[in-house]
Amino acid sequence: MILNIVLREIHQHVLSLRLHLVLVLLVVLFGLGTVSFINRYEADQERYRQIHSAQLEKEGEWAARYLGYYMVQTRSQVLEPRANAFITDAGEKMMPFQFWFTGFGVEGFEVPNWASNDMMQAFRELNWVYIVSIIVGFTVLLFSYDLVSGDKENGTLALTVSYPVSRGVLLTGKYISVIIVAMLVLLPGIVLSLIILLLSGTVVFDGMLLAETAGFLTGTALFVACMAALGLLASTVTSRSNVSLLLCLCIWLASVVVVPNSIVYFTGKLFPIESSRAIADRIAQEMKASSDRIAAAEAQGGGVLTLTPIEHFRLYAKFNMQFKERELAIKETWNNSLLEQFRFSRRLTVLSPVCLFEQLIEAATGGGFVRLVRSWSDMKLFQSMLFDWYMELDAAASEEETLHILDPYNPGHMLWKVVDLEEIPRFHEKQASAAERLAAARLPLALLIIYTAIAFALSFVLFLRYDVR
Amino acid sequence: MILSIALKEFYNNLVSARFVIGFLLCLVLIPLTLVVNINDFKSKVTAYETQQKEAEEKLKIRVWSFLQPRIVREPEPLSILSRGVSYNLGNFVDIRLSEKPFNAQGRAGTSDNPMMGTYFSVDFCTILAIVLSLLALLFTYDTCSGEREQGTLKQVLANSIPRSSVLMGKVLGACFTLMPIILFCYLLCALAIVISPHVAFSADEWLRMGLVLLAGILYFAVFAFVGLLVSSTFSHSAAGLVVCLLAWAFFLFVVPNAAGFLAGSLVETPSEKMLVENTYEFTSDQWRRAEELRGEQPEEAFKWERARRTAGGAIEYTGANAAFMEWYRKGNRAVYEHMIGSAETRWQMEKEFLDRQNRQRLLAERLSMVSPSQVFILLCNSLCCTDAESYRRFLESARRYREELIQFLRNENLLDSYRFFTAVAPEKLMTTDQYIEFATGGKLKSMDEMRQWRKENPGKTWAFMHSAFPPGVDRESLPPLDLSGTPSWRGASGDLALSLRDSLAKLGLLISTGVVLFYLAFVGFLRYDVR
Repeated sequence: MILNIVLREIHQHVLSLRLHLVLVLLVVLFGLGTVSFINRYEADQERYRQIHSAQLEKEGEWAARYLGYYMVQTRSQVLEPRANAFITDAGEKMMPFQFWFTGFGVEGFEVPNWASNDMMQAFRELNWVYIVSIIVGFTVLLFSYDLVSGDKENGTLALTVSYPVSRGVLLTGKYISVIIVAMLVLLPGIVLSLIILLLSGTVVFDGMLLAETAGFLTGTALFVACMAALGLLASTVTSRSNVSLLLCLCIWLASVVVVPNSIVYFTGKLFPIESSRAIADRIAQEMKASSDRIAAAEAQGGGVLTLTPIEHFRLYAKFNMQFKERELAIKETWNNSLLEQFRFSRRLTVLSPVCLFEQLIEAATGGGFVRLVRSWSDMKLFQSMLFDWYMELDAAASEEETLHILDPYNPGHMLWKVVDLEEIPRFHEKQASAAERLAAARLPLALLIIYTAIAFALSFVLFLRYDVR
Repeated sequence: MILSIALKEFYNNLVSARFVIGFLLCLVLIPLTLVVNINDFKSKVTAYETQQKEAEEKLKIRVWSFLQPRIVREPEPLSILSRGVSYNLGNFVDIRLSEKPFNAQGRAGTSDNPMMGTYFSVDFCTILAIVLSLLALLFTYDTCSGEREQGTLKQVLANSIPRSSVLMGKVLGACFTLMPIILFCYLLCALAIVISPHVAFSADEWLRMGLVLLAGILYFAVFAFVGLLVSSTFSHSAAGLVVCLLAWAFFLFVVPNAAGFLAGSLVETPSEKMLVENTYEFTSDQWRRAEELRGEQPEEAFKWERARRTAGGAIEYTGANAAFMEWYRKGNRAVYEHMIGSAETRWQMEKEFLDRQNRQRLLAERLSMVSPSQVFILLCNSLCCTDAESYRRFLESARRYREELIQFLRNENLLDSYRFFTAVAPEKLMTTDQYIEFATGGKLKSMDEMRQWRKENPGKTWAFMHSAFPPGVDRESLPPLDLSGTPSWRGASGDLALSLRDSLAKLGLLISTGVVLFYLAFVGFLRYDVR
């Protein structure tokens, strides 16, 4: 019986104007979005190559002088554009994917802004997640708002219920049909997008990308189920379809506009952090304190004129290292507070199914914040490894090559050995593992399931008591 | 008769659920948006005050080369209504001889956390764009088709009343219904502004807010005509509703993002990071070349103190002898004229980049004008002076001010004056012999003795670094510079007139779109099958 109901509902939807319009719209958007993505991805790759080769050239010049010089220079590491960004960009335009570090520590991160035009209004990219979360989410509500109230207004609901079919089966059949129809409407657009990508050769479809695509489709099905359940709930709350529609629009606006709009404000109030100005002031105070310590030590030593050059260098190195360590500690605390604040803000978005869906797909593709946390942690490990590598070389070097001094502000007092750039360890980004992705996906997945279950359960209960006359 | 129909429509709409829900939607969304945006404006004002203080500190200088005034753009109070691009861009510029103002520094955005930029903040005008258009469509999508389905349309038209009057009555009825909501939204906004201690509007700003209100009414009318057109095209209101809602989602959420995304892929801009690095290296290289014009430092020239430097490359010396100061003074004009010249070369690279960015922006705006909501938002940005053109005018005024400063320095012959780089009176400078006696603790008394000592001790040097200043050159005791005759920045003028000029095209587009849609709806209704 449920199958008959599902097929009947699908048949009705397929013949409806709304499905045809949405189908055309989705195919156009997927096509346009994919073609634009290919252009942008190639441009971003080219920009990344330019930045990367300029950085390598600079590092080559530093390394050609001597290793100590190389170690004290501040250099940046930018993460490469993702090939799977056609699924979701995960807000990476605004993610600080440029890391700054020296041989002594990781200084911080910033947004690369390599392709941004600040004079333009901010915009979302037409990737799969955006199209699904905005258009398909809206469409599912359009399909489901009148599932019950619309039939009641038509007078068909009473007739259907008069048959020996339970209300529960009827409701479930309608619900499943909306999900199936929404997925069917989505598929041509996705297939078109995949064909364009395959023909362009821009993206290589390896096992990982196929798994991410499958993850996207699964996440989409869950999101569609959630939105359909919310639409169904709106439909069973009232007997008038236009009121159901308004409720659906309010739900959609709350998810897409209200919740994301208020996040920055509430995060600022509920999770304040020190300002960057305060951090800069603290570092400046440490710098002054370090200068005072140096002056005091010089005075104690009877003045600079009485110290040998080596004693001089060791004196400065000691205080410079102390300052550097304090500076890096302040920056580490600040960077961690930024990450924690952002993590907190993401928790505030859990009220919105649209935001949960975006986080779910971000986790599935290993992009966005998941990528940032992983890479940031890897960068700190890499820097530590680089420092240990330098210390080994310094310990093994002869007296002609090194004074065995560590001074982040006087490279001339460090190891003078010239090492080929290719022998110096380099940072390589690692993809987030399946376990890390699953861990990041746990919360949005669980919440989407819970919301869907609650909305459907409430609709079920309301429909059992629904006046079908 | 038209008025009767309009009043009938108005009363019907007034008691409908959609009116109540629409009102409640505004009641929730508008205050929330205003609270967020007023809070953001407060952060902007705090940032502005801090930068103003820093700008004042930067004018407490002793030497002309340190004259690198900071120009800070005042926060625009109307950014509460329409954020535009004001939160993307910086708000201050430091004027330097070695470079023309390229872009403003300092993030005028509200959070120190760059990741918070992943969230979009919606302003009052965007909420209006979303809500007014939705309500306009919801009240007009079934104007014709709904009455036709109820069977009352043919009964009305069976009377001796022209179709045009019926349509005008319905349009007027929709206006009567929505005007209270529109006015309510603006009154809420005005109330929030009056109550808030962080915002104060001048007459100019109230006038511009009035223009935003007019734009809002025009905008709502466009969407009302869209709803009317759809209603007079489709015979079933359900079909009309779907078309209206999909069109609404398309215009509001798809077109703006698609336009930006397409413009980004059709017009490439080079990496700003690369440009900044290239121009930084170019300027650093030019400084090196410029310093070579100074010639070799004479043997008798000594400096004993770490010079005070600015980010713009200027140096203040207090701890040096007369020979050093004279050598340095003579070289300054050549060095700085070279840097002023190199700034023009650097500007060519930067201008090319800015032109490309501007082309990309203009393409995105033009593509987005397919959507009436984007036309409305861009119009509001122009009226509120939060658009890219206002920002460009600010930078242009900063560049003009830099030219005035350069002219002033040249006219007053300050580039090769002592006061350009030191506040120590020339007559108080130590001679070479006096310095050598002081630095060696009396062991050597003249330059000749120093030369002799170096001959006898090849490869050795005296460590001249010590933290005690020779008497009379404590930097903080030196007199500050009198800047009373210096040109001051007068601000970017004529903003309202220019922003109105920028708004005319968009206003015209909204009006002509409304006229065309109304005409099509009118013709559609005249031919509508009411059976």
